[in-house]
Amino acid sequence: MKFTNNNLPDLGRRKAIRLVGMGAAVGMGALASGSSSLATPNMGNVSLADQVGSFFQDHYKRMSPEEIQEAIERLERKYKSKYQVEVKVGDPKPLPDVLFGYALNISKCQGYRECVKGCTAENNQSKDPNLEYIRVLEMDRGQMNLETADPYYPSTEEVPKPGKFYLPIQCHHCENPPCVKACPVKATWKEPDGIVVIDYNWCIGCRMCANACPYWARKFNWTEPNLPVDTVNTQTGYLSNRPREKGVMEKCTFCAQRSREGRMPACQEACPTGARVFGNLLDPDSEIRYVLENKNVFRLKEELNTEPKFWYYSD
Amino acid sequence: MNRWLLWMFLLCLPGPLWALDTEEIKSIPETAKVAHQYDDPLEAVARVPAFVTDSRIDQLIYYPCENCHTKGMVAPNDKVRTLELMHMEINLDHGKGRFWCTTCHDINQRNQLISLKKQRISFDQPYLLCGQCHFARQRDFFQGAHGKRKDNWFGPKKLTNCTECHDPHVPQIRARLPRKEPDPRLGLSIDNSDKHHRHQPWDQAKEEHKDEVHQ
Amino acid sequence: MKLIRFFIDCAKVSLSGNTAYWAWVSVLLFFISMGGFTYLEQMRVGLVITGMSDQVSWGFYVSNFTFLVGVAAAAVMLVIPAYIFHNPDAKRVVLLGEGLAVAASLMCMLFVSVDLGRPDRIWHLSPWPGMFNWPSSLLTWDVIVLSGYLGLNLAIPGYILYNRYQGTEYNKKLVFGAAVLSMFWAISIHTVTAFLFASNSARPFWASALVAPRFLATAFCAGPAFIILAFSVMHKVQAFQIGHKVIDLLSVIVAVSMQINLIMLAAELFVEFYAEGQHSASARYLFLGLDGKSALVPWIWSAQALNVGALILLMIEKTRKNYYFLALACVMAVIGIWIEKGMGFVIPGFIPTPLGEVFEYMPTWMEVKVALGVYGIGALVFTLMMKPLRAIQLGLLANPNLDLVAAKQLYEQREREALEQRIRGYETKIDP
Repeated sequence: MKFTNNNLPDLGRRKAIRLVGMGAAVGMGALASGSSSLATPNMGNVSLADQVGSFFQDHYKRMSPEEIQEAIERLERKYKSKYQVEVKVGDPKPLPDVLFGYALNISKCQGYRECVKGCTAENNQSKDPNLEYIRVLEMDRGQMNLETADPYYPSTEEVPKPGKFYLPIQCHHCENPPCVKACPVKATWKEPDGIVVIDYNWCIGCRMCANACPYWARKFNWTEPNLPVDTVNTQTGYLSNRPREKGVMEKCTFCAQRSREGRMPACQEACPTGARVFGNLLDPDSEIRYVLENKNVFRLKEELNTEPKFWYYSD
Repeated sequence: MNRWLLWMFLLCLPGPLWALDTEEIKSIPETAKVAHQYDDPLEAVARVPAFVTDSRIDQLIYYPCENCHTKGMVAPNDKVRTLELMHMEINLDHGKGRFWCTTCHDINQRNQLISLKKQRISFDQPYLLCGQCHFARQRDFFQGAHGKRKDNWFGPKKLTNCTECHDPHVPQIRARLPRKEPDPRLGLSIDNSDKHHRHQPWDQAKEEHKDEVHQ
Repeated sequence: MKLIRFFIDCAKVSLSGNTAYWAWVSVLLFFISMGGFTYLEQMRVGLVITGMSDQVSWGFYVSNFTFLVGVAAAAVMLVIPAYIFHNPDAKRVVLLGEGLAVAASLMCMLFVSVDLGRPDRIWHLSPWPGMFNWPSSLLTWDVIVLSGYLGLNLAIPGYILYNRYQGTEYNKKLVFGAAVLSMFWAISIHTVTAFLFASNSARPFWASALVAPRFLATAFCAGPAFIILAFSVMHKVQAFQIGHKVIDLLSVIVAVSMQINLIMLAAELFVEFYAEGQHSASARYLFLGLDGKSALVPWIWSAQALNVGALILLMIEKTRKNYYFLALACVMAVIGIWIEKGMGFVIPGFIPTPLGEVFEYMPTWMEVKVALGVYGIGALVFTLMMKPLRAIQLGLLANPNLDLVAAKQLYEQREREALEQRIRGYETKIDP
């Protein structure tokens, strides 16, 4: 074998064969990939200017108020074309002297999953299959081992079942959130009112935060969300319930679009048993403070020092 | 003579009852506040954070009750019996047989409820009535650990009334079907068939004991 | 200007070869094209084409990433003897090792990239114009150490080759310094990758102090084993003359690392199963199955069998010195560690979920195709780099009229002379 590096004679034919061979390899590869077997997702008609604008859009915290306004208008145009309905994207700011906290009475919770229903109706999650922020665990009485929990208890059997209690779990909005630490691009952070939010336009979809979360609160859009027009909630917030896109993380935001306007989160409103207590931890007269100071409360996985602002209590 | 005296005596017997029914019933003004009188049901409200509730009166089908009960159509009847003409849908399952209608409904002023100490209570304030026995619940209700705050978490506080969730005649919350179970990711499926449930210590003990019996 | 000519000449060499070479390139192109088109599909519809879920949010991609970080780090096992101890046998092949490190760290980066839900926003993952959550997020550390390691492994051999291409001597102090740096860097890429997992206190299976040392042990086991195999193949196709001393050195490294790895495995198994708490659930799932689900059980036991088998072959001198058995042992070690450290480490961390759900993961064919595409890119890059590397090392690029056999003889003579000079140097030092 003679080493050849710049021998060019008689190469025409050989080169052609090589090229054809490599082309065939590439073509066979394309065939073997079995691509385009899935339907094209509905992305809406977004103008080139908007596409460029949203591509180069900066991090929420680095945008000026004008830039945020532009981003919101881009989103509203996109939603309009995608869902044929006017979606209002607000940007409520955290209220001063407010730190949100949540308490849940496990002796009241009956496992109806009404909170889950209320949440998905409010927060524009992907439907069918449903993406849900709240998971209600059916637990055996007499222990507190999550591994024996059953989140899939059937909707055809009445609850509460004898010998069971129910433990709804959602984002605990930790004071020391491991997800925020894990995010490589600061796309998720804790706001001054204690709500851990996500900039859906900055998230790169690496799922580091989902791995870091001890409460399994973070849910990923594995594909373009399926949000039928009749299920769209048109009153939305930029950092909370505006419709998401594929490839980004989302989770409970204590319904920031509601709670920052003084209203109750959707899960609290939907709960038919009054098991859910939401309020301002900085207000000593608030219900949540009464519960924390007068009831026997516990938090999940406290040993991890994440300092959840989501407590459980019982009568 | 003796016979006459006996008649007089018998006539006087219902006297105290009569007096109780007519004179001793106090009508409590909404703003009443008497610091030392702890049996005043409104006292409980005066010492808790201010709140309002939605009116219950608007929600009651038969209200005003007086339409039938005092305007001469139906005479008061305090006898424990099976109701046959009206209110047959009420299946009183509260208090384990200790209660009758008039335990909580004022027999004389049908538009009002009545406490055990014969104080009149509005249908809009059932928490005052329930709190007589369920005092711990009542405290939690006033403070926000029982029941539910409506609409907002700051500003004027509106609470869900007891009777919005509990049927006062059958107050137990009943079992019902839950909403849909969670979905897996698109294209994946859940196999929950082999979910293990850890044996409780008493189950284990029972099983071990069974083995011993076999041997 | 000269630099550009250097690159053009290198490219020319890369793009010339016999039919077998082009057939090999075509095979790689087939895999790359298959992976590329599958990845386009993934870009279009999202990661739903994979088997990943909210329950198991990392899968085949990250598993391969984890494995390949080890392969990349293993180049240090040639760098240390070559540049620090001036072992002539190691010196001859160290550039190959560094080439392998380049290919492996490139594949690592590609595996992380294909795992992203929003690859269009990958620029967010930079200090500028993106936003870098450094030092808090371990993924930013991984970006830094991987790109740094890639740069080092391109720069050192590039600098040496460029000098040889020009016929000049390279600055030994500079290379020594860079080699020392790359030595620590190699350790760091693996430690950081281990911390990427171990930092998740939510996942008790990963949150162990033993993860990083075990990663290093497996890296210095699978990596050199992989290098031995690569060298054997290159030796076989007569691309390179590999000295048996290097193979011996590497096989001992593989054996020792495998011993350390198995000791740490035993320690982990003891802690997990002696007082089996709730945190041992993942280990139970991995080794024994949980809730009737046991997809990984046959895999992990085969991996351990392969590891133990490889160790036995490597510990017996007769089989270790026999190249067929050595190759077999290396194949076993590579596959064993690929399973153990890839799927066998990444997946059970997710099972059960923090809420106790046992939800299994199985990679889809689409996922496997994308992964094959990434491996194809790595292999192609390695192939394209090896050609000019050999040509420059043999002095063919500087002197195009040289015959291959003559070039090899010249090269070996030069090596011998260098060695003799070194020995003379020692002698004068000892006996001035």
